[in-house]
Amino acid sequence: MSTVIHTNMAATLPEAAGHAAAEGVIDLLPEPAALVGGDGRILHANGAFAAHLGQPRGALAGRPLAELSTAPANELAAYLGRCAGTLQPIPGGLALRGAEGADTHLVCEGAAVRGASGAVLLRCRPRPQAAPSFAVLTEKVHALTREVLRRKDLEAGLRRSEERLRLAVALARLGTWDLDLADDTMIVSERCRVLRGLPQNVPVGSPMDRAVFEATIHPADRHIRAEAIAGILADETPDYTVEYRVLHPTDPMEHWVAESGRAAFEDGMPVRLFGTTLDITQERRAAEHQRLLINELNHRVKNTLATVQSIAMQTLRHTPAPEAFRAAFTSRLAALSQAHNLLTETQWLGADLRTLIELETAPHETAERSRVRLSGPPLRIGPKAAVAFSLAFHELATNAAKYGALSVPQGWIEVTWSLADAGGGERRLEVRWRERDGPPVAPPTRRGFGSRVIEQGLAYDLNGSIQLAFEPEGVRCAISVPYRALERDGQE
Amino acid sequence: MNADTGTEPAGPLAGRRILVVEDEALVAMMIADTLADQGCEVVGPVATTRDALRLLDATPVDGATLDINLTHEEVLPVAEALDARRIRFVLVTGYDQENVLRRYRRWPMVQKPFTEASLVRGLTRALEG
Repeated sequence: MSTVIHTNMAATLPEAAGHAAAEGVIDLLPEPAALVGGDGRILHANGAFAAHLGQPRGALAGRPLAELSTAPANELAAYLGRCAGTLQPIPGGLALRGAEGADTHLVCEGAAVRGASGAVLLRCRPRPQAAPSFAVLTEKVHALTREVLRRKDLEAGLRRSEERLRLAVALARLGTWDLDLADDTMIVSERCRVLRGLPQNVPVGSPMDRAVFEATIHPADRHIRAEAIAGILADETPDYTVEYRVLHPTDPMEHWVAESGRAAFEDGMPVRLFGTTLDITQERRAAEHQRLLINELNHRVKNTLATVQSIAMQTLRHTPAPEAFRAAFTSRLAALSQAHNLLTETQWLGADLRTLIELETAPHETAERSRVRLSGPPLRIGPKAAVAFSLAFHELATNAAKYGALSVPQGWIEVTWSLADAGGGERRLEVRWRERDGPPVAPPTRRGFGSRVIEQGLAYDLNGSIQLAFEPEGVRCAISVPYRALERDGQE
Repeated sequence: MNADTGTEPAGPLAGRRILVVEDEALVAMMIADTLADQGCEVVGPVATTRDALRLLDATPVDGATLDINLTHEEVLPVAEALDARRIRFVLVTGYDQENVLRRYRRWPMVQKPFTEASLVRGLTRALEG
């Protein structure tokens, strides 16, 4: 009995060929083909069948067809059953799925094989590649979109990162430069160009000769940078930071920069030097200013100490007894200290004359009535004048408390001052000290430190004229000082 | 302190005429007192270079103490005028050695605040050269 399972083949296949004959035919067929037994297992498959499904040929025999079918097992069994009952191939057939990764599916038509009872011959063709479904297309578009967006994010991230870096460099007032060691050219940033005082025609962002850049360094400082660079090029240190002066073409003031640099190496050879330049002129000037201030303070302290020393020595000359010395010296120190307090309030610009007199006479005031009556316009006097007046009024008040108007309850003192035109555009400060209602005054037998400070001190320090009179009705002191000497800061 | 000895010491400075240039009245008084105690004849004190130069032209001196920083001016013209006359002197300043301007470093110096002894010693050395 021969079985024809294909119209062209049926006549050529002997009826008694059986399975073996069917298998031989299958091997001759160019298209994928296989013989499936009544139990649903593959009996034999040709090379094309195995190749299309991505299976090793030897591994197919004995495998249940169900493992390759895309249809449910019961539908497959029903189809194979129908095929086994007819020599006419049943169209609309069976779809077989390739191994994972194999690119083809097969569409098969089955028919019974004459002489091979229950077996079905499957003849197959590759399933035409179906047009991708809308869902697949949508998914692909989405995937592509996601990828594009991801790259856009990356780019935006990069741009933001660059923007942050650019801002940081700008905010940090950093100038940057990049030196190519192969040809000794460098590229400088705009900020770098400006703060090094490079000429306007030096191109920003295009290479310039490194010599032009290095010419901006103060000649006396060039070795500082050269040594630092030599150090990193020899790979002794990873990077360097130096501070040096730069020559500014238009500004004669000293300009300072801090520079940091790092070298890039290729095959152990330095090929590139990258660096930043920061303007530290303000910092340097502030430091210099502070140094000057400290020197000035030191100088002022020394002078103050010399003044204190002079007060001590002269007090000792006139009042050598320890108790008297202690009282006189400490009260004079207090007077000096009052003047300094006042001056500190104005950063040593000056002091108000009324405030100053009030401070020096305050210890002698009583709660009941004002014993020192002041009258005069607001007037600021310079530091040197303030110190000289403080000491003078202290001596006048001390003397009044000991021997004069403030030594009796009814006594009081009138202090007046005014600015008077002395002619020739000159003005003078005229101060009058008059003691009233005190005991009769007798001129002192010898002139002490107080008289000396009043008469000589004011005259010497302020180029003034002083008249100190011990009149019977009370001490009078007339002070006349050029206004110019009061305004100017007499401190060294 | 020779104030209460009442005697004229026969120190190395006795009888010398010393110009005192110092713009702080109290310090000037102290220098003048100290020198007077040593038997010096004090010329001045004066507070300005103008007054100092005028005195130099008017009267002979054997030496001087000069405060470097006067009010609004430096004492340099007086130092140079003394040098030109081959008159020795000592500088008195509140600046320490580090901060004294280079042009003053060739002259002997006494730091403020000074003791009577350090001033006398400094001036004596300066005059002896």
